[in-house]
Amino acid sequence: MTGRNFLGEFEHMVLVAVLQLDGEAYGAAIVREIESRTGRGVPSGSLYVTLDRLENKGLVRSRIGEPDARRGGRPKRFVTVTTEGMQAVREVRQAMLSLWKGLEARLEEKKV
Amino acid sequence: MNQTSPPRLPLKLARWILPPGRKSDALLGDMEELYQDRLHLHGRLRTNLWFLGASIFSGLRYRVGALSVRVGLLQASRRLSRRPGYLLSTVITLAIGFAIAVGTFAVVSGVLLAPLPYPDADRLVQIEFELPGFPYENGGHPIFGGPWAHYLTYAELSQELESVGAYNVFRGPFIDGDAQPTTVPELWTTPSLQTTLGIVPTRGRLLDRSDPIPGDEVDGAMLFLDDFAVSRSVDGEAVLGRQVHLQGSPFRVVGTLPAGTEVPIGGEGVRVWTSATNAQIEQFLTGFPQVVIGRMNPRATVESVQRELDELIEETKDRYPFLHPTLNMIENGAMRARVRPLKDALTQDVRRSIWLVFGSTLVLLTIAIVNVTNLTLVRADVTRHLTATRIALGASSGEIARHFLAEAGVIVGAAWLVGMTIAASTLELIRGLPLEGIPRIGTSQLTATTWGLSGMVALALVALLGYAPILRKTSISVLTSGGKGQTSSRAQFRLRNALIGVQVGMACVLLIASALLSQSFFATHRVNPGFESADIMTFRLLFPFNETRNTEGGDRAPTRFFTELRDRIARVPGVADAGISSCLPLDVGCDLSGTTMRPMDGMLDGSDDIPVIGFRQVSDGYLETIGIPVIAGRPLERRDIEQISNGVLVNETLANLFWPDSNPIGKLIDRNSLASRTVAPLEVIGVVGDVHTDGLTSPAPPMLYQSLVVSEQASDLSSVVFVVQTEGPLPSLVDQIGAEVAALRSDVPVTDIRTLESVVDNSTARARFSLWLLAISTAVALLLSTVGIYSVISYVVRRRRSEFGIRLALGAHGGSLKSLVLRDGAIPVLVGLIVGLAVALLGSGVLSAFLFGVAPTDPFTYGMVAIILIAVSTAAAYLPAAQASRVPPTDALRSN
Repeated sequence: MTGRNFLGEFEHMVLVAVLQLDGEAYGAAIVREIESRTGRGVPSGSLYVTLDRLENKGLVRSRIGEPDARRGGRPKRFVTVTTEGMQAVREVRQAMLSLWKGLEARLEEKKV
Repeated sequence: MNQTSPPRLPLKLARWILPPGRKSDALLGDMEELYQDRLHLHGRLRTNLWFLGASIFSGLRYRVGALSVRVGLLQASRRLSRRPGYLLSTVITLAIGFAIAVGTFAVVSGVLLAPLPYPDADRLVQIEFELPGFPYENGGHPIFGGPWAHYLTYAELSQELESVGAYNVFRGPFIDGDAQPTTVPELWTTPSLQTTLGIVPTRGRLLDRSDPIPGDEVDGAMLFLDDFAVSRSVDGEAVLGRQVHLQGSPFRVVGTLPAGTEVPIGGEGVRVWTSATNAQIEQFLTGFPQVVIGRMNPRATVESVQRELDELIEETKDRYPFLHPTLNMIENGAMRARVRPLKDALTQDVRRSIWLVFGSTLVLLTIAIVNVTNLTLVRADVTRHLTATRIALGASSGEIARHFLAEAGVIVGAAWLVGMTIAASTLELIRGLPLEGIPRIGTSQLTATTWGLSGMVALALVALLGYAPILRKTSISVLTSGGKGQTSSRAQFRLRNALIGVQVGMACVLLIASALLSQSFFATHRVNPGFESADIMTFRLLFPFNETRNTEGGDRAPTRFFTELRDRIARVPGVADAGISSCLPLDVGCDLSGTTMRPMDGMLDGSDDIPVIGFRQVSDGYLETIGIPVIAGRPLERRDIEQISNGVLVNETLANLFWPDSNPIGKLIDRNSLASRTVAPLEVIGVVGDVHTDGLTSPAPPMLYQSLVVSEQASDLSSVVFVVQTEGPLPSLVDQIGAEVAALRSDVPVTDIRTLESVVDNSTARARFSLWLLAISTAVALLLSTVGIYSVISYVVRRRRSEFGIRLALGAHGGSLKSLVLRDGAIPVLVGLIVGLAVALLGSGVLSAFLFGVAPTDPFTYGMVAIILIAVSTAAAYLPAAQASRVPPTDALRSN
């Protein structure tokens, strides 16, 4: 392991999506959030594996809600980001921003 | 809340795969919610398919868990590579199963399921007539559109049909400028066909009812297919306005059609389209278009069109009173227009056999899966102590599951890829085969649907193979595998035996089906067709008729040309005899030359039920060349041709039909059809043997042979077939024939050079194709079952090695141990066999439609199959049994 707060690409996406949903994050909502913002398909099974892993790392916390008739009587798994999780996202963002520094101009050129 | 619940099966599968718990519940809830999202966006079918795949995938993914899938698969591959025997046998078995099942599914979807390549193709119907005297269902028949008179009526009056088109396919000599004349298949069609099929030209315009344009010195308008234009090195606009000659008539090219434009039936290889004008059709009112296709208006149904066409008969009668005899047959039900969806009509002859073959390959796939499941169970059993140790060391059930799932994933994944590759290349091969009898076979390929469906089967298989070993994980404990549990538990034993029984039963059913079909196939070949085909070469000659067509009084030049050519060829050294006919027996694409007739005196006089009689024009020497015997009277002679005599030969079936109780020689036949109303009655001068012209398994139709008369009228022959019998092989014959033709005329192309044997072979091509596929499935099924029996019994023997060692040490005979193992192995085989025989008996009704000359419950076949299966499985059990009898007693000590 390269460190406790090392984040994979998909883990990163999931964490940010949970933050975007602001307290209303649960499985299907996260799938929709990632799909609509990135255009990338997300299998629910993969999401759950990642959520479990993030939970084991202590970066998110999840709780099972009440049974919901609209979901065939099945509950939702609500997810919130822990303080450690916030810290990890912050660090990754910092790292990314500093890596990107100075490249914006060149990216703009490409676009034209 | 208006909500559609997702299909239950995928949910059940996913729930079965997922570890129990509330998180899994929540995951299923998410799946259901996402299902609703997609339903609004993508529609029901796509969403259901997605849901099936996503449920299985998500279930597996979550079950496999946090460990990276890639790492898991890598580790599993490493583990498996240390067991190359198991890895290879499972991958090969599954790959074969996949390849055969996927390949035939591609054929099914290409031939039977894919829509026809026309806009709104589901509104297209075919209109055809059943002709009494010509057995319909028996494959290899040309399909008929009914009298042109009838066509004209409903083309004009039908409300249910938006448009109707009719066509014939001709092959004629084509002359373009100074180039060598070639033979070009021509679609002679009513311009309305273009609207019916939704054809759009790439250049110029379509054919029109008013063609040719008044003032233009041509006989008609013509369309080129783009690839034809290119092959003649005329491209661009240059092709438009060009004048060419077809069958001696000048045509003006007015447009081009997209390359590959096809008519649905009988139009293989058509290169040019010409218009059938109403004036031309009027000349042929009792003639038949080969194919009539209608486009229903959006509200019409096949039934409503059928009703309307039945009603329009009265109208046709009023319009064409002189057609009464034919119309009576329509009215009294002997001959009736039948309306069917075009796709059904196109595939009706092959549908059943393709589904049969597909069914058999599904059975094969099941055998392969059962086999691999059994091998996997055996392997899980062998490694039971490892699993037990891992559990003892604290492995969770999820981790154990991951272990087996990863192995299953490697095996199934490899097998799937190999199988799909084999299927793809086999399809390439099949597309290249000359399978004339199977429409649209060329469109068979691996579509996205095929990939998707097979991928889902593969995923489900991963779940099955990954879970089969853990279903019994409760029985795995450190205690039983610590060394004491050397014999298998009763439950495991039963499961494996049941799986062997299933394999044997399925193999039994397949074996019986293909044994019956091959007997039927050989019975077909034993049928005496009524003629000889050895050492006989045939070719077709086309003559530019229009040179003589317009000459009043009838020029005899073409007939003289053909008979003279026949005499020259007969004189070629090595040639035994030669003859000319309008049509070869068993030739799939041959024109149906049939007509309605009745005897001037006999039985059928006054009856409305006039049979349609097959009709051939032949030269002297034809019957002798192909060995049709003259049973009574005399054969046709040259003087019959020269004098245009009214003497005809009838076959035995026709003689018995018309004059069952009297000598037919000298009797007169009334050619009761419009085209020859003025012709004197025909006189029977001889009776000849029956010929199975409609297929070897169809009864010989009544047939009449008249002497060859070429080109007196436009409705006469457009081409003739020569048959040439040689004394043994004569490689230079083709060249010599070419030289003889060229010596008489340089502008007459020789086409369709074949042996008569290949014509006969072609008539059974379709039966041979399905038989081959079935035989391959069966052979593979038998092989897999044998391997399955062998591997399970040899595993059991290995497990009981110490037991056998002890028995031997205590004085047991090697022979008694051998028979013990054989007996244990025989029980599931016998049970499977009995069940298989029973299933085959119950299903024999399905098969009877495919069989000829053998009963679907033929006891000999059933007996032979039982003997073969018993022999094969005894052989498979024998090797391990022999090993059991030779276990050294020291082994028993060592393994404890």
